[in-house]
Amino acid sequence: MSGGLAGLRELSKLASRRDRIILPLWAYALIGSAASTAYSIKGLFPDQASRQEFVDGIRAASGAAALYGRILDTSPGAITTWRSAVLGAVLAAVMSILLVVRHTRAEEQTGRQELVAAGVVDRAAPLVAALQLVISVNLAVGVVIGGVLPLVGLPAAGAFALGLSIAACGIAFTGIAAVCAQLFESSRTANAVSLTLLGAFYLVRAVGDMSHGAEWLLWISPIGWTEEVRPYAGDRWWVLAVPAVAATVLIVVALRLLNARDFGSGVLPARPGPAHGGADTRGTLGLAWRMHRVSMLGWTLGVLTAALVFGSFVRDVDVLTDSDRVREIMADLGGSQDMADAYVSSVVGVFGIMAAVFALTVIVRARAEEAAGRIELVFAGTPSRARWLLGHLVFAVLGAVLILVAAGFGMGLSAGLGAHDVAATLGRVFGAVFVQLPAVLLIVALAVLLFAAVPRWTAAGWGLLGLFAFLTLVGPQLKVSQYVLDLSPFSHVPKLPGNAVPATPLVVMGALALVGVAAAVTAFRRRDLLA
Amino acid sequence: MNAIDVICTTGLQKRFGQAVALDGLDLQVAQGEVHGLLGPNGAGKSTVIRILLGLLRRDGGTVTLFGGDPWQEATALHRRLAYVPGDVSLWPNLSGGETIDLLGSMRGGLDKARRDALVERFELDPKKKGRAYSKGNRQKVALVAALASEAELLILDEPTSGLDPLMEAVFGSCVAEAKERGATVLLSSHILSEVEELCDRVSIIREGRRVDSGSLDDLRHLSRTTITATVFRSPGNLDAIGGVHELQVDGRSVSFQVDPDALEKTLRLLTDAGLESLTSRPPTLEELFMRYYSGDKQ
Repeated sequence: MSGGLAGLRELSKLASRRDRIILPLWAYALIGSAASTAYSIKGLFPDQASRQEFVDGIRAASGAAALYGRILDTSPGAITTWRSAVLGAVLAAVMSILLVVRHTRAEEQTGRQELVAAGVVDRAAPLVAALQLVISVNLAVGVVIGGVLPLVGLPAAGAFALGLSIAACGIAFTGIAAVCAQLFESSRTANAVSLTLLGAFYLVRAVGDMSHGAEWLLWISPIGWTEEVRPYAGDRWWVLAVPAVAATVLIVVALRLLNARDFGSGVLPARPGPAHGGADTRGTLGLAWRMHRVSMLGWTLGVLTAALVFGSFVRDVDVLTDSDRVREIMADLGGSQDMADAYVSSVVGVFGIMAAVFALTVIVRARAEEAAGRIELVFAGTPSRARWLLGHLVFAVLGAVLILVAAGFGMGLSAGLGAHDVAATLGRVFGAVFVQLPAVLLIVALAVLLFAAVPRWTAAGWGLLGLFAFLTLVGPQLKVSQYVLDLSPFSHVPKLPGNAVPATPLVVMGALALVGVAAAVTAFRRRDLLA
Repeated sequence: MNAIDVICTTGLQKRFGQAVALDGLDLQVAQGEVHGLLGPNGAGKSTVIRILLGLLRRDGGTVTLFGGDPWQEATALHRRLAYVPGDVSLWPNLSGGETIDLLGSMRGGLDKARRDALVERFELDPKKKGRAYSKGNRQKVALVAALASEAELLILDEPTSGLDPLMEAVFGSCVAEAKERGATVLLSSHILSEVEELCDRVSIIREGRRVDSGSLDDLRHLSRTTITATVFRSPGNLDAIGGVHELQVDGRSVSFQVDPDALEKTLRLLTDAGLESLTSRPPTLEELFMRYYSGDKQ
């Protein structure tokens, strides 16, 4: 065995071959977003004066710190870091979680790993192969960011600090996902718990960044570690040791757990279910309810928590500024001249995107039902195709509505408590939240239409949503042409509170969504079901 | 074809891109019969079943199920049938019991007493979650759900491929009971003893066409009998008779296979040679299938 793990090399090759398409996409998204941010910031703020004005504005609008972290310096590098460090760290973490679980627990659950484990393969080899792959990808992304930013004219040292600090967050979550993959028997649970932890750590650092005196909170969040490296504001390399040590500890724990558990089972035992179906488990609607209820509840609670936290920052945002430039920036972000309104509007926009993300997971699961062949069991019974499809759609829409309600309630409540006027604030925030709905519905309709017409392309819905989110969140600051921005349904959402509500775009998007769903039902009735 | 055919296809065609799955398939299943659907892997068995279930749309030919169009009238027709796929995939977070009730609710309800009796007979633990079942147990879940209904037609696609022999026997008696109450059964299977025991008629398909259909006796009549004999004298040149195959002479013992129309001639030769002992064996199903499957047509 020459000291190595039997089968490791073959498994590594297999893993990188299976991911030969998705890995470059992730890497491109991570590297591209950092590079394009750097490029556009150089263009937008060519001189020190303009940068100083921008940074003053962002500091005054401390709400921005909740989303992106604090801005530490006025150099182009520091502004680039402010805009891409936290975002990049979150993306790297999501990538790492999905990849680790996909190559470990998911393989075990489908039984494919049984084929592998029966060969001359060390028990730990599949996990180590997955970790090797994911850690290498993170490091590669970090190094390439370090190499690319100097091409745009930013100093190399900070570029590498930024790249590696993003990679370090990805690697820390590689360790978290590795442990979760040992703990839980189902890959869905492992993913859900890891992603929930990511959300919690994001909120912890948001509170840290917004606080005066509780900045230490950054130190207990892997995303906070990325910020504490302070690229282009001191380049504190030694901080990188923190995620490195954390990841090492987590990986050791994961390996210990792996060696202590049975193949196919989790450390935490699966509970038995009821012997008979309850009243809520009947028909296509009952099936859809059972499939989506846990994630719907989880998302709603998660968004509620996040909304309460972000709502509590509104009070701090309400700072007056004299700078026209800052007003312009905030108008780009949130569409309003009033700082607090602009802040609420930009945060609500993010919740709108999250509602669409949830709705898309529902559609993707419907497609998975077909791919796994479970749909055959259903359609051998009496349900019609329209009924089944609409059953899933009901929960896509209901979940999106619940998420928006939670967002509106959470933000409205905590912002209202801060302003000592809960009723009025709730009303304003709810208005801002609900204008998101037509855009979300339109995206859901597009995704359903994709699934109904070209099932193999269902996952392309994620690509569309990613594009729309990018255009809406980053597009205006990158001065992307309005024609391109208009492609995203979110660009047609009125920026509330603080602006007028034009009815036309909302009605048009709602109508388009209905047409899309009708077309989807027709297409789904006509096509073969594919296993 | 027949007024009481539950399933009737003529010239059924289905292509997937370039690949031809069904190439003019004819299949008739009469009411009340247990019909075996046999064929090598990739012959098109599951494709026919999926067309019958309205999951796939035919590219050509005709197909009727209870006299209706399985694509157009899927929902109405499905009230009258139950289906067990060969490779059962269950919802990972639903228990077996929940899945059975759920599938029942999507067929207009099921008989609770019968369900409980079936769970007992198949020795199924209904409290386990879908992801925790073995292949055989997943199949049991689908079988219990299907058999607990009062369906007029059972469509079973290799339903016992994961069951142990004890459970196969339980399955066999369940099919017999279904037949007794007048149900029609379409059973796709590779297990020849099962087909031999359960099926009234079989259709053998290969490369998307039916190569033969009939009762097992019918099929046998068309096939070779294996003869082993001990004779006093040399029986002369048996292999000069057309229709004698795989002749082996070892001293006084002779064995060969013979086509039905040459049987009389060969027996006469053997009798003339002075018979001491004679055994004649009809073709086994295995032999029948080996012939059809390998494509060696008479």
